[in-house]
Amino acid sequence: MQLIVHGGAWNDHGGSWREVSGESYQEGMRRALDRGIAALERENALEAVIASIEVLEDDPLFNCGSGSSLNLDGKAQMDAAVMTSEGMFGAVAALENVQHPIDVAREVMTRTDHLLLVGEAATRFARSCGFPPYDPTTDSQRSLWREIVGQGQANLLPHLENFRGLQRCSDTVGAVARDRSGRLAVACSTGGLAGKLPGRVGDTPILGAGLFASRWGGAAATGHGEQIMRRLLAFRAVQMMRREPVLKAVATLLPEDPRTFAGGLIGIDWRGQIGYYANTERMPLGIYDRGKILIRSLD
Amino acid sequence: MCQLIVHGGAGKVRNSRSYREGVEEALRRGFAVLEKEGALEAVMAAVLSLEENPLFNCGTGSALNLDGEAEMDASVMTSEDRFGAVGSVKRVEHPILLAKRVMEETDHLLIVGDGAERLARFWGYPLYDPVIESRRDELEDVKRKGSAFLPKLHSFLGEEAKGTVGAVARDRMGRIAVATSTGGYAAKAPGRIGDSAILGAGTYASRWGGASATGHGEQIWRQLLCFEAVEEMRLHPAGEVISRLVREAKEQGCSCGLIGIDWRGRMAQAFNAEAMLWGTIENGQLTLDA
Repeated sequence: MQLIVHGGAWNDHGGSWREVSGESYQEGMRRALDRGIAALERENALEAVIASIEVLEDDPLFNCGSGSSLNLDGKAQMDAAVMTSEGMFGAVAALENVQHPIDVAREVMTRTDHLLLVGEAATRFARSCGFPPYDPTTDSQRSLWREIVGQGQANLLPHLENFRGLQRCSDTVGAVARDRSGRLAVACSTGGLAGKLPGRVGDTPILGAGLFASRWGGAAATGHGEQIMRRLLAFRAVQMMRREPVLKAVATLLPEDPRTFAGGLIGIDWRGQIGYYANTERMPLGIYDRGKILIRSLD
Repeated sequence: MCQLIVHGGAGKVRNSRSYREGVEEALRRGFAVLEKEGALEAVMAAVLSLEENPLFNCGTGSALNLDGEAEMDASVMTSEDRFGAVGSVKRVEHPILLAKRVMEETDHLLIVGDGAERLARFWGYPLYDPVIESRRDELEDVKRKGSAFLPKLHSFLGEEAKGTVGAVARDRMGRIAVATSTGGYAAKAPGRIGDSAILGAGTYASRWGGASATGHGEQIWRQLLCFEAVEEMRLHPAGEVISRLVREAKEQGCSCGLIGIDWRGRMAQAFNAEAMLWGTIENGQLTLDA
């Protein structure tokens, strides 16, 4: 049984991006890993990745659920997705006012014929599944938003051009697990880019881009969403796992130079080998492999 | 040498004459600009023509969701790796124009829902109601027959509900462009996005070719059908690749149609549904089949 959880991959931009010590990230990663391991031992890979992601969605330090980055309007619009090696998939995008987007993604997977529900209709779907209204915005994300978009400008669409290129590297969280019976599951969740256009969807809820799973393995990506989507990063990684070692699959798909594309990739292949790689300064990780626990920050 | 291939959807055989005329019109409008303005403008012109035509399931005449609204997805991609898409837009006349502007004027690839409609208004596209009466009747019919299945409709709907449109073009410079537009399928859950807005699923282009898909959106997406097709075009002719992928898709229960052009300008189409409307034009020579 294996589980790997990541808390995003990012560069510190001279310290202004996140003024938090590595210690508190490690604390969050440990909790996410503990909950995931418990679910992995008791139940299966799917329950494990969901449990881990729920913990990170509740932790305001991570860009998902509570503590999500805010869009140009100052709203948290969240994306999340889950996939299993049997090909089950569900995702939500531009979802507002729920506590656990990953739980809504899972309902899309089990209760509908669809893969992806978006926008206000996705929020309605969440309510019909019984998830109550919840405000995931935090003070620190509100002040980051003010810093990015300036004060008192509620509708910035006319100034679109000024904001091109301003959005910073996002930091999706993700988890991949493999259970006793060899089944794999992957889950991802994010608030997306701070200052993104309302309605923007990145790689996280896109089957093949932010996550993919098949009998050959499972992978989750993080970093600049548009670049991950163009490269269909998770899909390519899992395709490679069929023949290549998992470490090669996650490492060769990312450029060494983070200026072309900054991000990270984690995965577990069909043999239970774990791989992770990032070309950024930071990538908090939690790893569980055959009874052993490893918490670290890749830097 | 320039090529353009257009499809008007896969599914059941339909009253074919007026549909064929619609595909022919799209081919002529695309080809009219292909030589002078290039592949991107050609696929845009072809898809704009199909979005205007109420017979096709995109733009005006889109299938309606469970709430009775037209909710449309569209995307465009070029061999220079440019991509733009919109999903779940309701009150615009031409989703494909919005997709192109997302590609050209934002840092993003996909914008959905209210955010996409606000961008449409910001860019000056007026409010437009794409709903037509016959689609209301279709929705009532589906809801009546399928009430026990909602929202798990696919198994019930089978072949009836397809009808994405798409175009792939290659211009004299060898540039390739792909455009895809759809209303999804009748009685889909509000907010549902299928393959047509997804890079690699319903639309893909690279220097090795371009492809556009139609059919069962969720299944096409799972297989990243267009990405797989274009990747294979690097080494194999479009005809061989597309026939094989569509045959394999059927084995996996995916009802679909696929069109494409490879880097050497070979056009191809295949479908495993009852029928697909398609046509090609090359050197002014128009070929139609339905």
